Amino acid sequence: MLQIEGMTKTFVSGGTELHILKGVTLRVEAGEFVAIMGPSGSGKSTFMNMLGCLDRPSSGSYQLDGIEVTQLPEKKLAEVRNRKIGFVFQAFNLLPRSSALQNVELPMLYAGLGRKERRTRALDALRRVGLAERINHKPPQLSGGQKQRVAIARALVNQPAILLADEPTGNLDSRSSVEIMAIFQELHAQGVTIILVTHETDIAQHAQRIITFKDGNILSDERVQEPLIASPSEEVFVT
Amino acid sequence: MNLLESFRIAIEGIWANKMRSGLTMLGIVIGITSVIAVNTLGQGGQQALVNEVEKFGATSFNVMVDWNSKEEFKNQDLTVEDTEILTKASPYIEKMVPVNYGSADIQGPKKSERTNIMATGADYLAIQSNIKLVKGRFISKDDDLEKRAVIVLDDQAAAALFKKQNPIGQRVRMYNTSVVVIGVVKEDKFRFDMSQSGTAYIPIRFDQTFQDEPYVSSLLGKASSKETVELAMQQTKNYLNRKHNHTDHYMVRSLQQELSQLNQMTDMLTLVFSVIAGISLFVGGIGVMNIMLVSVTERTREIGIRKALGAQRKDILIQFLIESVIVCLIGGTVGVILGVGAAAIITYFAGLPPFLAWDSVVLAFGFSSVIGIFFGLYPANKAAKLDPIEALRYE
Ligand SMILES: Nc1ncnc2c1ncn2[C@@H]1O[C@H](COP(=O)(O)OP(=O)(O)O)[C@@H](O)[C@H]1O
Ligand SMILES: [Mg+2]
Repeated sequence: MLQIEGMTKTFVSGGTELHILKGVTLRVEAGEFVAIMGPSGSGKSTFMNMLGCLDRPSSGSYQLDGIEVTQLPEKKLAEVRNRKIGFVFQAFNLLPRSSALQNVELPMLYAGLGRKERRTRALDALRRVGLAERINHKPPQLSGGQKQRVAIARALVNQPAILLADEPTGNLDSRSSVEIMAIFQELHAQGVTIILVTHETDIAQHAQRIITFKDGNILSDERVQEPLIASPSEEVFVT
Repeated sequence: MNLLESFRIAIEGIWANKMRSGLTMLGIVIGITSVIAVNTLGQGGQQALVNEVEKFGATSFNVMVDWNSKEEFKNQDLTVEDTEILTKASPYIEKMVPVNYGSADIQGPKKSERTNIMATGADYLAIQSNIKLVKGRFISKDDDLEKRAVIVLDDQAAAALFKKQNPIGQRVRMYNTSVVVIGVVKEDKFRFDMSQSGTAYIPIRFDQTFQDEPYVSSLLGKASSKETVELAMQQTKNYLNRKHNHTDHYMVRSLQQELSQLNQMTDMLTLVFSVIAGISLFVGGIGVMNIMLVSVTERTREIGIRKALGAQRKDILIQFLIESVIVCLIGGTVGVILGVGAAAIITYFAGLPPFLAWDSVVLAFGFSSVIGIFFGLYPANKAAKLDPIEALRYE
């Protein structure tokens, strides 16, 4: 599903080389729900950007769904981002002037889907994250939790091979965080492969497997014996 | 992504920054307005001149002694007989009359009035198609041959001398002689003719009875067709030089010639103004580029998001390119409307016929798009080349 071998990333900043990833090797199977933890600056986001094909590693290999993506030309890489990857950011990264519906339609626009199909699928995705009532709201009119749910709907809408979330609850209060985790768990139950970065232990406990980063290396990789079940006080309409 | 969606996104982008887009358009508006106004006025003016010339007889020409001539000037360098011989001899000359132009005080029943005197022949009216008989009759061949003391007034002179009275058959005094008014003509004046005084027409042979040596100031000819004007002029020149023992003593001009000279001048003026207008358009284009660059910088994050979601370079490029083309086209449309309007107002007050320079309207739209593409390409390309991660990290 996802096979990384000896991945390194070196930044050059002010004449000095910063070795942020120092040869990461990792395999994630389809349908897994993985949490990545680690101290700030340990290279988690850098790693996620590599997984999301937003950036290229300095060396090493990365196979996604059987395709070696490190050598793909820019045009193909954009296609991979569009079709195979759903990315959820800490800062939501919604287009502020577009409605929730338009935001969710965006990846399908670049996939070349027709108007009707875009609409049906966007509505469906928004319903899955419990936002059917808010489709015409613009991001500034939504709460943090609602924004993140729009972002998840957007990440899901092209049925990607993998859902990547870099600290999705980092900007949310605990109640919204639990709601978001409930959605992730529901998606996981439906078979979606998820990799989630967090620095909160209780959030990580919702996953099946926890990988810990330190100084650009994987420090530990453990199964979660009994994952927490997110049970939001408010009903979230995941279907 | 299809083009329609790109348009929607571009229009949303423009709409989201109404004020800035409007200011950007202003440069294009001013440029296009001036290009359209200058060209419409230039072409309209020329069209008006062409119309005038058609009205005044595109086939007529004028013969004078060249005042730059180094040869000896004689009173008989032009004669009444020359016109008769030329009319008979040349197949290209349909009609020709002698003209002696001057001015005199004419004493009417009420008052005396300074009047232009045009001493000429019977065919004058047939050549000067802008002068029409309104009352009585014009000078006849017999009037001329028998040197009759008759006079034809134009409406201006008639009004000045007779007020509302009918002048036909009345007597006036000029050159200390009593002459009979036989007709009134009305002159459709050349549009740019500002002269105030009236004109009176008398038989040229009558006019010559007041001179010691008969004098003719110019000949007025009419060629058989537009195509033969040049030939008629050449023949006239050759004949006169031969007849009066000169080599190159005469100046023959046609309205056509004068027109083409005027046209050259207006073409030149239009060109100069067009260049100035073009420069302002260019400056407007640089304004578009400037604002597009600002827009790209401001929307770096948006570009990052779009790229993260799978936008190709060409999607981003087209989005920004369409945006700059739309800004320019809207500016161009407003400019065309303002330019046509300004030209219409100016033509109205200048008394010129209304005119629309369609070619420059079409050109203006083409130009706007080209400016949009040309000045939008660099910013759009800059946007398309942005690195998704850096764009996303941009605050
Ligand atoms: N483009 C870059 N140039 C230079 N240094 C970078 C760049 N991107 C990230 N870094 C550095 O890499 C380190 C790891 O960053 P990051 O992957 O965001 O860590 P984490 O997400 O684990 O907190 C940080 O020290 C950061 O400053
Ligand atoms: Mg991070």
